[in-house]
Amino acid sequence: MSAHVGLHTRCGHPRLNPSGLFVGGSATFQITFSSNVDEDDVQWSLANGKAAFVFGYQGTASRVVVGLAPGTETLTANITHYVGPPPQFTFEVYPDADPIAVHFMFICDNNGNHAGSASDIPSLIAGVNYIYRQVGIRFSQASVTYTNEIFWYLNSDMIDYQKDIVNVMTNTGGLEAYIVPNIAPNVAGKNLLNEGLLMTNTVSAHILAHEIGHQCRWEDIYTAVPDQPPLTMPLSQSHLSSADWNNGPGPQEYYGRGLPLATVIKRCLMFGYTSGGHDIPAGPVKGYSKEGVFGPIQIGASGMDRTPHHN
Amino acid sequence: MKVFSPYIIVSVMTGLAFTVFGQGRIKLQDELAEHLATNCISKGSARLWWHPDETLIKQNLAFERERQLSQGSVVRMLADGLEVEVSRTSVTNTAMVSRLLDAILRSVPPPTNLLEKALFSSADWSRPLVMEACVLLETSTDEGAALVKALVKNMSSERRAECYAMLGKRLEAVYLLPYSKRNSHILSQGVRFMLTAIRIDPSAECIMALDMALDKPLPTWKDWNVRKRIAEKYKDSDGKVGEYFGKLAMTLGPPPTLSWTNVEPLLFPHPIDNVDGDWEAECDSLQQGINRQIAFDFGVSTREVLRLAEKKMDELAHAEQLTPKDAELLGLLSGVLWHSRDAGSSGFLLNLLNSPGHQDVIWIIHTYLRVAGPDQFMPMIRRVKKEFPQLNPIRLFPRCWVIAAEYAGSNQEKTLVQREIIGFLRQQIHDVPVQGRSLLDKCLLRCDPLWESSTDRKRLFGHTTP
Repeated sequence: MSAHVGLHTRCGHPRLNPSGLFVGGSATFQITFSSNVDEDDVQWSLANGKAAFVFGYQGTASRVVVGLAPGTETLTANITHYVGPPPQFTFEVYPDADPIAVHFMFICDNNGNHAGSASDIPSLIAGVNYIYRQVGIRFSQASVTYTNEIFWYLNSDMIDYQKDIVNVMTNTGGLEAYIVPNIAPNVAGKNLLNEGLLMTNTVSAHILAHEIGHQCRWEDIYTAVPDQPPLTMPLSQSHLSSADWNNGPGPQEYYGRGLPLATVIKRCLMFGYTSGGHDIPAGPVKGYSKEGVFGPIQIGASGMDRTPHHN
Repeated sequence: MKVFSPYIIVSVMTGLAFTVFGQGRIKLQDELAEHLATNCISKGSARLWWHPDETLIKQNLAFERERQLSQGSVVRMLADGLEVEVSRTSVTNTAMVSRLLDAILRSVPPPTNLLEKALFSSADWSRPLVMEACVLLETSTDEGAALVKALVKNMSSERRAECYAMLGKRLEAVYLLPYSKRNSHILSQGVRFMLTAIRIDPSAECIMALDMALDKPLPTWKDWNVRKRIAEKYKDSDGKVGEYFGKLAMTLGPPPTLSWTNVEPLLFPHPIDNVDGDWEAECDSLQQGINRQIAFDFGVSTREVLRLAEKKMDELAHAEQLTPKDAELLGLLSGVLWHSRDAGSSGFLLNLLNSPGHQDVIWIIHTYLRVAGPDQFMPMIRRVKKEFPQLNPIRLFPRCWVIAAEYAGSNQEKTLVQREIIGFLRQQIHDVPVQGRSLLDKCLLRCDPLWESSTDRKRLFGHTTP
């Protein structure tokens, strides 16, 4: 049996190992079975009553589950005559919680010109919420303000001014995002830890979600760093937390045989380049840190700060 | 459960009794023995050193505080004891040495050269263990250069070659394990150390040992340019070294030359978008590390690498039209020169200033000021004021102030150049619009010891900082 599990994204790509969903939310799990597995051979089950199937529990087709009550749930695909451990997916069902407020400020020149547009913000927030539903967190637009400061506008790529900019809004109780014309060559987002985050546009939900991720205490993860060999090895159990491994017997089951670790890293929200994906795993994933050290990088739901805020 | 046998404790105490305590040592020996037995128990297997153990570090601190010992005494005592143990030629208790190393490594935030003394006094049986521990602790930004230099200074080339070979064997054994059981930390630390050693060690025999040692644990080693270059360099050596590298050179073929096509994929660092410290310094360090790595791989100086980047920038700046991709590349190259901070770029930047093409003149001025050093600061400022009056001062000057403050330094005694730079900043604060004064004030506070209580400042800001 060759299999992987996925939560389908809007782009149609499978998202591996969804770490969770909201009560009332739904997620689609899919396993690719080999041709000798019949419809009747597969019985799906949910262990803890925290989620339920929408369209039955038998068959090789993908399964849609809905969250019923907060807590940890385990989905198992029991396969007749299959001798290995059954594929299993542990995920969280999160309670509906108050959204985290995001305050936006546009840095303008003397004529009111600025990067980005306030009208983009609702869809920006919707995009971020779509990503963060995996960890049961929502965000909402709390305020939009403008400030005319020509020195900041023209020199927003200077770290000294960036530190001044992120101190304009303080103690809002939420996140503070500042839209500036420049941050650094080819850098579209930057989080100044605990102070505020900077963005050069108002359209990329991925960038905002990634920068918020840093405030959730997640780190950047890389597949290659200077002075170190690039990660060419296939994904293995030691690279993931047990919650992300799906009960697979190894060497790679239930991931696609030969799936490189680098591919999994690049699918993650905290991959250090803007080309990164939207996946938030349940636990850490092994890769390179920004310091160039190979090891487990905290990019998953476990251990994250669930109430990220800037001071 | 006691991890340390009485023998170990006595051994440790013997080492520390003479070096640390003198009188009253018996009582302290007993107390330290108790501390070791109750607190220094590795939770996992011995020699799985991943991270310093915060709990143990706190317990060591508490032990030291209670007995009014200086901070780090426990670790130093253990290291002294270790030094005694590893130098024994007749006793080969590897389990004991492993446990002592375990306790030390879990107590020390790396990097440290704490174990080097033990390494140089270790007997043949204990050297592999201590060597591995030293490499594991090498997480400093110099990527193990300090350890390699210490080895070169204190060990014969034969012994170094033995050390590299045994480290290679250890890494090979780790690499051959299934992925799930592999200790990736030691693998990455060991490879990083050996790559540094191959750059620094002057002995041809040692380079051969390192090349052999890297072959298995670093599967991509066969593709590194530096390996081809090393083979080319040593293929005509005498004896077995020449024979080995001669064969290797035949297999690998000639090393590729330094060209933009070969360098471009390696030159640009990943963006650093999470700031918790000195962002500029972090970016500088990253870019300069990349430059060194490319220079190492191609066997050239970092200047030559940067000359290639400058040539490409010149080409793009003077192209008839810039595609969006070219413009992005120009931006990335700007970052490379800015963060490389190489004084050798000064001449190129001066030429570019005369004919900027698509390149931003203000960026050229800022980068020149940043790379050329303090002596060139005021001459360039004077030139800019005279030749480029059309430039927007609000964009031009703020970055100049920050660079000026760095050059003027935080020291009390100022050179003539530094005094002149401070004079420039003091003048600027009168010339700029009010909104610009805040940053200027910060810059002056950083470098001018007289500024904080000066009448100028009081007049401009009253008694409070803006």
